[in-house]
Amino acid sequence: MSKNQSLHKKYSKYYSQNQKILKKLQKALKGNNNEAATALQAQLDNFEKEFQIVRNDKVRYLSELNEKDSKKLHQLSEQYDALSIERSKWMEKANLRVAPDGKLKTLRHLNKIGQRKGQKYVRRMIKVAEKMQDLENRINHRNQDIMQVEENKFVPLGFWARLVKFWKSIPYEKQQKIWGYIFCVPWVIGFLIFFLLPISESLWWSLNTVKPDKGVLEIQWNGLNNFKSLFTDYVDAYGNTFATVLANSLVSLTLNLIVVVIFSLIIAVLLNTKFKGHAFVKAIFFIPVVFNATAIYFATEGLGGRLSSSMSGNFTIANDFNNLLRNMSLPDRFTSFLVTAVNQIFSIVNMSGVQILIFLAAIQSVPASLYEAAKMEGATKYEMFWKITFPMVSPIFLTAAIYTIIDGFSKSSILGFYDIAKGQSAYGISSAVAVMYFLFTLVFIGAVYYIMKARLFYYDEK
Amino acid sequence: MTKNSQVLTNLKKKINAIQLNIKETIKTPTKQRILKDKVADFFMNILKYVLLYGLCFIILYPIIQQVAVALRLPEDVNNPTVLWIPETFSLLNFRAAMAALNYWQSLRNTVVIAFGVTLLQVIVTSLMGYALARLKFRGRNLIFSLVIFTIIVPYAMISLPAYINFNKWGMVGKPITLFLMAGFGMGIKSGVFIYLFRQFFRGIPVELEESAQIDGANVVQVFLRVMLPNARGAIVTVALLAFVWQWNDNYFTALFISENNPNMSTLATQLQYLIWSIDQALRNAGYYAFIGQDISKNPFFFSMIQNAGGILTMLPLLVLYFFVQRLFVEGVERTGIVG
Repeated sequence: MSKNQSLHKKYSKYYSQNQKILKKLQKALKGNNNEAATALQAQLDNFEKEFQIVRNDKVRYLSELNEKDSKKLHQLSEQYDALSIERSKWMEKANLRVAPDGKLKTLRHLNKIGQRKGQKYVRRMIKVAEKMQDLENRINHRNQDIMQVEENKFVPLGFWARLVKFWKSIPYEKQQKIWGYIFCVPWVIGFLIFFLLPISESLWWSLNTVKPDKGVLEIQWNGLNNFKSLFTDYVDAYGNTFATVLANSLVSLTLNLIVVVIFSLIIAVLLNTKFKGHAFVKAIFFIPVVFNATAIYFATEGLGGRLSSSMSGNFTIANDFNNLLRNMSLPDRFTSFLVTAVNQIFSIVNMSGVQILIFLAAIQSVPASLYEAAKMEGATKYEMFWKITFPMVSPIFLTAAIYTIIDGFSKSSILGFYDIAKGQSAYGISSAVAVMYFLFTLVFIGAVYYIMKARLFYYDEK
Repeated sequence: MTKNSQVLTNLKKKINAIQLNIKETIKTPTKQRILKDKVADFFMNILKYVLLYGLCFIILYPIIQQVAVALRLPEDVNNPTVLWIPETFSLLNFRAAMAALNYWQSLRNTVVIAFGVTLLQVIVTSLMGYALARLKFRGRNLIFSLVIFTIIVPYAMISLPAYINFNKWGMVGKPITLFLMAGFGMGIKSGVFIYLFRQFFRGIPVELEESAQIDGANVVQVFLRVMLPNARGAIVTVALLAFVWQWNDNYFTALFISENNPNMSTLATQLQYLIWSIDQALRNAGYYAFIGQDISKNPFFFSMIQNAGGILTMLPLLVLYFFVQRLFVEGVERTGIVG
């Protein structure tokens, strides 16, 4: 390679000098400057001798390479012939009509094996043939180059041009592979530095006592004591132990999961139908996706809640609704049920923005031909929903459920413990909280996956 | 009189005809069924309208309420006669909230950080999504399962060690931490975006790509000229979500930047700490001079300013949302986030 490069450099240097002199000569000839022209002509003649040597070198080098390659080609063709002979042997066996010992079983066995081996050899032959093709192409290219060099028409390419030429000679599938790696490189680096490193540190810290001491972390092996003390010593702001908080959040998550998934499916189905103010309603429904939980908090619980609890002002939606129902003189129990439901609806709507999106996209990707066929058969809308929409959308339940779980977990009250431990700069304990939290998520998702997997319907288009 | 009675008899005849008609329709089973369907449809429609518009109301209510409360004079906080429309309109709350939030600087920081992060997220996740959807290379499935893994792992697992590492590398308090994380595909919910892009690119027919290949396009050209223009919906969706989530994020932004460098705090982080900083900020801005003692001592006064701060934080986003809303909804519907 290095010899090739040095030759190339030398050649391109000489070539460019040659071109320069030629240009000067042309200029001189145009300007009728005969003296200069003759001088330049002489220079060119002198130069030509040296250039001829370089060119000869290049031609010799290229033809050496060609000889090598043709030797290789010869070997390959021998290999190819050997393979084809081998293949024809096996194919004879595959095409046998009568077994040597006259038994049908051996005949079948031989046929099968012969076919399999024959195919194997064909594959090998194809590979060899591809290599041969490659070599032939290369030799042809070199021959062209040699011709051009001998006629002094060979234009040396710059570094980039050669690189581009080399890149274009790579087949498309290989290029795809290389680009695939290149596209993934940033993510993989990020994964290693910003994800895998912190996670392994978290895992390690959860088994140690970690205290920050003047910017340096003191790490001491502690076994599983962090987890023990997490369950025994710690209580959150409301005096609940870790175990109770875990259990509570499990219950609320399960309830939320069921309600949110069903609710968002219903809303998505409704949004998919045609009605007046279609665009407006859709735009409103995705506001919770855009919304900031803390910003809206002041309206629902913060300011409004406190104002209404301290005085007669009607601020929260639940309060307004409550008063309305009281005025209608409905029974109290019924009123309180409705009020809590409305309060819940608000949080549910806020939780299910993305899930509605997911379901809506899924519903719209159901082929319309199915509905048309059902209509022709006289199915009602109810039947169409249960027999077409629901099964077709069912794989999305898993996606929506997993999203709900992750989203719900990120707002769960388990994180209170994390903040408490972090505030005490007991990093070991807070890592233990994070690990518990992670395991909990994983188990929960696993359980949901296991339950749902068997009940999902996969429609195979291909 | 006669005229009246004539009209009456006419009406009676008409009613009788209609009744007959109904009776006849009820007799035949197919017509019966059609009628049943129609009635069911009618009630379903009513239910649909009530549900959808009711939910719209529930979503909009707090926003309207927030605005109504914020526009009041501070004196009217405790006034029970003022319900919706303020007695005297005043922008005093907004001005106070602006002072307390250090609004313009925070807004600038937020915009810069959110735009940078969004741009990086879109570039990196679209490349990854394309690679995972269409480019066949060894380890593709492994990388995809790792992407799913990053979605599942909660951020509490990462934040503290990451913070300590960043501190070690001297990057805490500078927005470059967030840019680096987004640029290396580890920003807020990058995994979800990669998944979304992958699903979308898988939905684009292969023939399109193949015809471009035959025309002599290489991989990058296919990606830039064929795939990206067709993925406009996915790009809008991802960009909007990335922008909004970064705008609203107060966890990572506070941890990596604002807690250590108050000059770089964003609107979301300012809002988070508003309750503690509000008093000092208002004093510095000289607001107590023209607000009476009895108001500044009122605990609801601070809440009101917080409320106004919430509106100010969300306002740019809402405006942006209503500009790109149509594209966003369209994009989502055509993404086919189907699994």
